[in-house]
Amino acid sequence: MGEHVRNMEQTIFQSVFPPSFELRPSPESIGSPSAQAEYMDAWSTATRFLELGDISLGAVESLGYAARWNSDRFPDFEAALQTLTSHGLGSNQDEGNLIEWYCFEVKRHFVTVIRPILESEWQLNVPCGEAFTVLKRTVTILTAAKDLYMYPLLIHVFPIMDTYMSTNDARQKVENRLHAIFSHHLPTKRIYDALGFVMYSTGCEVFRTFRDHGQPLLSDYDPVRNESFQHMSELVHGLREVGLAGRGAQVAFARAMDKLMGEFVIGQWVESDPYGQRHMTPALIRWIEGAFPTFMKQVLVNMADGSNIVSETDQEIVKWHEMAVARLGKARVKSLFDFITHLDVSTGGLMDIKDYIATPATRSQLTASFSQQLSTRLLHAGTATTRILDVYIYIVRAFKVLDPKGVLLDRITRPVRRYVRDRNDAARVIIWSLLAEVNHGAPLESTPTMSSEIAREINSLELETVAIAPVEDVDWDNMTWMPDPIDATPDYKKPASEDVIMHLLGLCEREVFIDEVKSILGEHLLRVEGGQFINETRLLKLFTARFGADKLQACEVMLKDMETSRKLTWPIVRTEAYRAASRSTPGRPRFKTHIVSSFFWPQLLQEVFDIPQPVDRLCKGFEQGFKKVKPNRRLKWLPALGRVTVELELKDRRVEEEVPTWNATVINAFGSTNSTAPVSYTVEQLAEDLSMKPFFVRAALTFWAAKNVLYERNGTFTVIESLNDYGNLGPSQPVQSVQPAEPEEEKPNVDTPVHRQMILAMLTNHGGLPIERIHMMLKVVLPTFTFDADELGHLLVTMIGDEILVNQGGLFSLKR
Amino acid sequence: MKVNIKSWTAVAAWRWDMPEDDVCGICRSPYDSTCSKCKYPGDECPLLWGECNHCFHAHCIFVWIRAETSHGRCPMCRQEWKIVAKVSQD
Ligand SMILES: [Zn+2]
Ligand SMILES: [Zn+2]
Ligand SMILES: [Zn+2]
Repeated sequence: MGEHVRNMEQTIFQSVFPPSFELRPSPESIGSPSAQAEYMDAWSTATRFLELGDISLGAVESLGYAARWNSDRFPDFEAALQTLTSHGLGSNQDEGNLIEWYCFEVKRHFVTVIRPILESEWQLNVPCGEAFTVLKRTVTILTAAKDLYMYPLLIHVFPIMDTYMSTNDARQKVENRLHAIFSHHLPTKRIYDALGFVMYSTGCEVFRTFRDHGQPLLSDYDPVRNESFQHMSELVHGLREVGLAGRGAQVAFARAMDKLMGEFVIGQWVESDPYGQRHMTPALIRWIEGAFPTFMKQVLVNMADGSNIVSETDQEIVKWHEMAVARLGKARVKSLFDFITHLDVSTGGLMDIKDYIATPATRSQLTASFSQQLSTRLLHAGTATTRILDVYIYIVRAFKVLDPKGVLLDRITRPVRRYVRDRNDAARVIIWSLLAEVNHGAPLESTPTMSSEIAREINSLELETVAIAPVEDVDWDNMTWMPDPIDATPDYKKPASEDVIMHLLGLCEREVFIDEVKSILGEHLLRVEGGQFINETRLLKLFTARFGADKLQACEVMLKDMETSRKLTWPIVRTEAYRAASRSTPGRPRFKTHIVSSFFWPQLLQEVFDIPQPVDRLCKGFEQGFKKVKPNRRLKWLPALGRVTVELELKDRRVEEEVPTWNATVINAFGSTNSTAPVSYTVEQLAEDLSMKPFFVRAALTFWAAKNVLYERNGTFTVIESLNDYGNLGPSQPVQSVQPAEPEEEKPNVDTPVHRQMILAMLTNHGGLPIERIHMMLKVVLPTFTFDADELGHLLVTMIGDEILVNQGGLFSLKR
Repeated sequence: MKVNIKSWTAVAAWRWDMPEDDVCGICRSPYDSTCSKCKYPGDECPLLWGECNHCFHAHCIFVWIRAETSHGRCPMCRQEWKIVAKVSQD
């Protein structure tokens, strides 16, 4: 193997540098035998004079070799050289031959004396920290060697040859030969790698040092003032002098600059700004057009053919410019999800991306990268629906900035839309969020059923600006009116928030939205104590604009019923029938009725029980009055619906609460005029007395126990007339008795006996219920129930496992 | 404990004083719904009773009677259409 390699080297070497005996012209061509003899003598004298022997590196470095070529030692050298040149007069063949011979000699010396020394330096990969030192030493050694090899030529040979050829040409030729010998016999790959590293690290230091001063104008920067830079320049210059700054070094430099640019863009800027607070493209361009080329040129002039490359450099700045913006953009795109979820601070980063996505290729890169980010960071089972919707809103807002025409938004949000289709609570959450009351100034947090971002958007939308029909007419008085851009969609003029909401309403199927809005609006209207119904009106306008009016008649009627009820109440309460009932009612509660159009409302809670006597009287009076006012109609009371404000006068305090009717009815049963004896009931007694399902009775009792109005002992609930007395009632605490004490855990547990009991009681009354409904009812009757629907789902699944419940088509019911 | 009910908001559903699930013979919609032109039931889309004891959405029978082919007759029993003074009014 070694033999083979050596042979190979030999072959290559010989083709470049033929062995000396072939260089010597055959004396036969010279002519007379005496001339031949004279020539051979001269050759012998000249070559002996020029022999390098085994001059050591020490001698080389100390210039201890000068005496060797003292012309006193070889007085006949000059004559011999003359003889040799005279024979080759007319052609440079002979001098060439002698020079060739000398080059061969140089090669021999270099390979045997100098190369081993350098090889030991470069034997292993040079550690980065030593790259500069080793390079510097190599340059020193090679410079000394070169000085040695040139010495006899410069002192003794060239002056004589000057008659025949220009010394400069000859010198240049020999130097080229020397450089070729050097680079041929050195591990140049390692040398250039090391050089590249030195260039890169110098660049890093130069620009990093520079950045320490804050943010000065990068284009003004002059790297020459930097000390490391000067050392590097000297090194490059030295390498050039020994022929090691050619193509290989240029490639190393190009790579180093490429890496530097990457490091500079990514490491120094992008990573230091993960949330995209700064718009970096302009500063980057200043750097790319200013400091960076200055740096490059300064290095290039120290390299071979520097001047040539410098002029090319100017042409390449445009390319670098593109490369740098692309690099920055690509890196920024990787953080797009973070930018989008921190929109309040990330405008700079978004602008960088906007600068970047000017071409189809970069736009599709953005699409691919972002959909990857979405699937790893958002679209998985662990994300709450409200979070997905919040982020969806962020995306819509961000892309309004990034791509105002909205082409990208459609593409980008496709995965979200696809994913949300499988979230069956999405439409509900959207509608709940659209109906959410926002207290201006109060921080708004998303809950499992409400997306704060949707609520924020909808509340920034003025009711009046909601376009019921697509806007077509032009407002001629509006002086700021501008024609639509050519590619604008018809709803271009809609306010930004409305646009966002419209996108949102594209997330689920139209039918799903319409079904959900009917049922939610029904519950919602009866629950809120609304005067204006602004949120509800706005919601309907938006839905009408998005889905058309025909499917939303029921919702329109429901909303109108609220207003009609108010108007209708006035003539009814003036009827004699009602006034009589009112007169005979002690306390004269404010009585109001929502008169709903039965055909258009969703299935309403039909529970019937005995409402308090005075209220019942008012209802009857109201009903008679209604018959007077609307003779051809009937009224059907829905006692389980509606809200009541009750005030409880206890011995030591007053408690006022707004509660559902069934709850008020239960606590009303505890009322008495004789305050000396606190009233007590069991669930069963009340259920019978009030003809009310035990589930509601228990829920109401639990509510009042939590308010410290009642306490329970052995299944009997009793009024706590005085909190002091209550403190003396013994160790049994009312709240604890309703919700048995649980071992203290860091995480609240959804699977408690109370929750199970509530679910069973609920399903006993209602048959099959969807999880959302169970969740909502639990939250209504148990104010302490803070678990989300997913957690409730775990409990329900456990109860199915315990063979207590079954799930049929999404409806949970008791296992029979 | 004394319980004061300060306010009570009740909910009641109204319907026309007709058999449940009966439909208008003209538009085939329930009486409690609206005619095909109207959005809101009740006062905005009232019912009309004829002397023949048939009942329709007012708008439905108006349109019917206005058409010449009806010859002013009830579409159900072909008797002459005469409104009973039982119109729902305040
Ligand atoms: Zn009709
Ligand atoms: Zn009508
Ligand atoms: Zn008839």
